[in-house]
Amino acid sequence: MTSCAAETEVRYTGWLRDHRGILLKVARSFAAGAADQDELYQEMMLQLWRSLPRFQGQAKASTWIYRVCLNTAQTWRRTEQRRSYLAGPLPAEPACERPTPGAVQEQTETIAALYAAIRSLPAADRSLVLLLLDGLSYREISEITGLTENHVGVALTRARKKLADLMKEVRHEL
Amino acid sequence: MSFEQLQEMWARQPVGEVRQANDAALLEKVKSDAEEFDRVIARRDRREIIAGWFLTICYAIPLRHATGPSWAYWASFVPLLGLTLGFMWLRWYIQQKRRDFGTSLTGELNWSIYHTALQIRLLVHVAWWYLLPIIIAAFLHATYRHGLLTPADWWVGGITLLSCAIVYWFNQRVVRTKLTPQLEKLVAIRQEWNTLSRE
Repeated sequence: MTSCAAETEVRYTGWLRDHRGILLKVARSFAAGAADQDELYQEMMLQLWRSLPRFQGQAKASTWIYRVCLNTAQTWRRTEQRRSYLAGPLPAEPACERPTPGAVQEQTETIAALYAAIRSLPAADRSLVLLLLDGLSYREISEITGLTENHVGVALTRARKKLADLMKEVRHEL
Repeated sequence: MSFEQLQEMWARQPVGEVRQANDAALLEKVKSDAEEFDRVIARRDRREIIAGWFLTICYAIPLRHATGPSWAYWASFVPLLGLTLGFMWLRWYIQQKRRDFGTSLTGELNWSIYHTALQIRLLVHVAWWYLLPIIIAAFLHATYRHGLLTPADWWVGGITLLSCAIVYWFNQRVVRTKLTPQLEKLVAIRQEWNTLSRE
């Protein structure tokens, strides 16, 4: 194996180890149901691998991973023939886990409601809200999406309001 | 609940560890899938280029010993040569063009739309740039080599035309069932992003 190929592999496994949470959150935000989330997760893994030769280190790894994952997710279509890279399915969404007492249970329910609300947003809003919830600054969101910071600010104000309304609806339904 | 509280809760959510056999096996599977995809694309491009050169040479060899006007000799295989070179140029052009779109989400989206629309244009007009040169070359080859069309040439011509019709039908089906829905979906997503930019 050439040193370049070995370097690529090390980088890829490092990315997966350090940023697995990004893939998981994007999968849950764009696909409903364990099987679809699993398929989208694997598609993102594949696209991430394929994107490695184009990564020149100019952006932070997390910025690059967000770009690839969100781009894959928003154009993803479920297929009949599923890949299987994983020995088991993805961990279930928090709300599907065994109920736990008190505050923790309330948190899992809120997170589940949040995912449901995010999934009912349009794809563009979904990406922006996800990035904001992950604590990225307007500048970082602008780098990932290609929108100007002003546009990000305006769009997020609207998306936050929409999300708040949806959360009320979803929690009411739950 | 405020957005800040939601954000705090979001940060604390258990993302969990994906249950996987091991990282090495996972990597091998991803690599082999990616390589298989690249192999399919490379095989298709290689096949087109080799077929073009092969036909060009096949047409050129017997015509070198034929008597007649030189323009007919050249004209019979120039369409094939042009097709092959055009195909190679297109591959190079697409690779160069991709750089103009950048790597941001909207850049990638615009690139996907451009690329899909280009593929649709190419396939919709496949009869003109792909099939017609082959038919012209075959026709010129047959008439110039024998001086007139023999019964065998009619058979070969008929099979060539039938093959071209199948290739044409197959390409239009791909446009209808795969590429056009894909383009519509991409355009709808871009519309969403454009709406965000305008507000």
